[in-house]
Amino acid sequence: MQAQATKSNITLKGSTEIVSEFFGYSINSILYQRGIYPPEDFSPISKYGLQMLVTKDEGLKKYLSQVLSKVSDWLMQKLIQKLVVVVASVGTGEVLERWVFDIEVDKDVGADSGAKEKDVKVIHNEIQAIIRQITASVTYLPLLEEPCTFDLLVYTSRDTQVPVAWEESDPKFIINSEEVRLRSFTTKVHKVDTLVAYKA
Amino acid sequence: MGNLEERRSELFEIRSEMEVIKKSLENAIRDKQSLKQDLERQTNLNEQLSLEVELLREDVLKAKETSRTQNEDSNRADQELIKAKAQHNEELRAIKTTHENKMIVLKTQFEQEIQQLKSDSQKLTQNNLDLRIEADKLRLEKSASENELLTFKKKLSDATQKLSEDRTEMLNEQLQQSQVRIAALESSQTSESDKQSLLMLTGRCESLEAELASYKKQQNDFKRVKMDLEKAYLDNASLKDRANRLENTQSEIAELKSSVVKLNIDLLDWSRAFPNQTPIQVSTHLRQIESNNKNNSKLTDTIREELYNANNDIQRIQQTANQHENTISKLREELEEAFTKSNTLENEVTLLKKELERKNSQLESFKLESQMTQEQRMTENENTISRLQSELKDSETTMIENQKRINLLEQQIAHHDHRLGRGDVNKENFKVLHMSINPELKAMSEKEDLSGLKAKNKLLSTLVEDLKKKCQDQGSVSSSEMNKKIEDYELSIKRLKEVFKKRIDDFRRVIYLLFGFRIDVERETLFKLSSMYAEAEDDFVVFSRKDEKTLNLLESDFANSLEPRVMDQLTRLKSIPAFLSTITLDLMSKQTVFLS
Repeated sequence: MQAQATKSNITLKGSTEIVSEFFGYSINSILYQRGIYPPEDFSPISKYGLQMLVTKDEGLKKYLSQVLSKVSDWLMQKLIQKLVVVVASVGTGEVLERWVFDIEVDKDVGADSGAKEKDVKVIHNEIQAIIRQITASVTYLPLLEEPCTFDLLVYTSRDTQVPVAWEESDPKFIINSEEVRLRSFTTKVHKVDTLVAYKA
Repeated sequence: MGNLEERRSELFEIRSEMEVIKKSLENAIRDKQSLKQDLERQTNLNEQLSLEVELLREDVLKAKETSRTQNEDSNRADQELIKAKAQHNEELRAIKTTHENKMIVLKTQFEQEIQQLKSDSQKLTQNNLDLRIEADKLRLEKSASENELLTFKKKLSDATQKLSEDRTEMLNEQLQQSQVRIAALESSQTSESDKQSLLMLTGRCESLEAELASYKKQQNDFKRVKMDLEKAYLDNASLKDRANRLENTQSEIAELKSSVVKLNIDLLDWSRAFPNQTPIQVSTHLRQIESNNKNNSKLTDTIREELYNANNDIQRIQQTANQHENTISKLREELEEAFTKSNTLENEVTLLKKELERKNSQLESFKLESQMTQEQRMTENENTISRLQSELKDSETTMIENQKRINLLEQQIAHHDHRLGRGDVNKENFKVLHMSINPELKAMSEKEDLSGLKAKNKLLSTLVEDLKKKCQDQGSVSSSEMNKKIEDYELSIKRLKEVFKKRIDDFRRVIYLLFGFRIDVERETLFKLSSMYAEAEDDFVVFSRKDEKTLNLLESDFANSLEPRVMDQLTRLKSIPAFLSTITLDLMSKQTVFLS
């Protein structure tokens, strides 16, 4: 059997779905790999040709779904610039890691026009590489020895209306950080660059 | 009363402390704002720097590209120069060698041709001289042979004249003598026998006379033959025929001689018969005649031989003369051809010399020109090399400067990357949002609760210890009193709380009745307003307090469902009371029916 590359049209909506799904799986991976939640709270699921771990905690699932649904809305409206997973110490409140997902969107693509062609399999391969890098980050990132929590920051345009359940936040800097740039993927509508900054 | 005053004083203290805390909070908020402003400035600076960095990166890339292109151009120019030099040198060498070879070949060819022409001209001059000499010799020989021929002709004519004259004279004399003798014999001898013999003799004489006549005729023929012979000098074939004829005549002459012998015999007989004329005399006459005939025949033979020889010589001489004339004409033609050839060759030589001179002049001019062009090109190339070297130096200096700038900018980029990675953001363009209720907040609140409880526990334990100490110190104060006091404090606090609650509730109720909105404080900065005329429980608007003077409407389902006319009060007129009033009026118009 010979694998056939099938090019498919990727609209803004389709790209938004792919990107928000990627965010969900990558946030789950970060939370599992960095030990923010205990491993027993995660259940395995196969995605992108990998064995992914997704949380079973209902509260966390609800929170993530709320955030990602809003992120999807903002992606559709082209208002989102960054999604940041901030890992902070519970004891001191100090920010220890920042997982930054930079989002670039093609301005020519509209909600109903300007679809782009790219094979979904290729996109999944690119995402797979990023997930692998997140998994491998355990090797070089410092061990989180204290209990940690996380927050999701969304960088939006200035004219974005703040929803009821949302509020403005400080960017939660790391005072002395080192950065590692991970791979990126593109749907030709959205391009997502990944960077992890950690306390040196 | 004393307790009340103490409590009041405590309350005042608490209020003053609260005010101090408020002031400190305000100061903290101001500090926060100033910090935010600083952050914004920094972010602006970051953006500007990032733009500058990008521009500088572009400049650096351009400078690198230009330097690369310049280096490449200079390298190419050097290579081209070297190649051009090498090619030019090779071309010059090739041209020199070809010209030298051509010159050598032309020189050798010209020398060979000149030598050949010289040798040819020498040979021709020698041939010419030889031919002239030969022509002179031949002319001399021709003139000699012509003279000889003339002398031979004269001799022949003389001989023939002599021969004819001598013979005729001799024959005439013999005839006269015989006639005289016949007359004498006729007169002296009158006998019949003699008469018969005389008649016979006269017959014979007549026949002799006839023979003489014929002989004369033959002599005439002989003369004519001689004439023919003379003519035969001109025509060889007729001459031979005539020679044959002469032989015939000679044979006839021989026959005549024999007849003459017979006549002599007859004459002897006749002299016997006639004593007057002695036969001796007759025989001597006859002998003389014979001798004369012999002499004549000898002469004729010699003359014939000489004539034949002369004819042969004449023919040979004529042939040789013709040959010589042919050779002379050929040689003359050859000479003329040689002259023409020599002239053409001389012309060619002159042309070739001229061409050689022209070529030499061209070669010299070309050499000069090539030297000039080479020098010019060399100078131009040197100028370009120097210019390129100066440009290269300039570009190197700019490269060094750019490299320094690159290093600086890379440092700045690293710094900015670091800052970006740390989370710096331009607050003028971006808004950082997060969910109000998030895991971090939960964790922190849990932690705070725990810490608060711990602190409270600590405080209480200290209070208990203090109280125990006081009890120990006072001694008189009993535990029941203390408990009483505590109960009193708690009661008073409870009462105060109830009073405050009652008054606050009254206040809220009055506000609800007056303005038609129930205000719930969600958090310190969030205020939820529910209208008296609301259709559903979810119909509320939320305001967040930014500072003391500004309130911002937050997004909610009810706020999204408001008409633009209503929103205009807020967005265009910037009036929250008017906005709320219009909401109240709208909802009231929907919920109530005015009965007149």
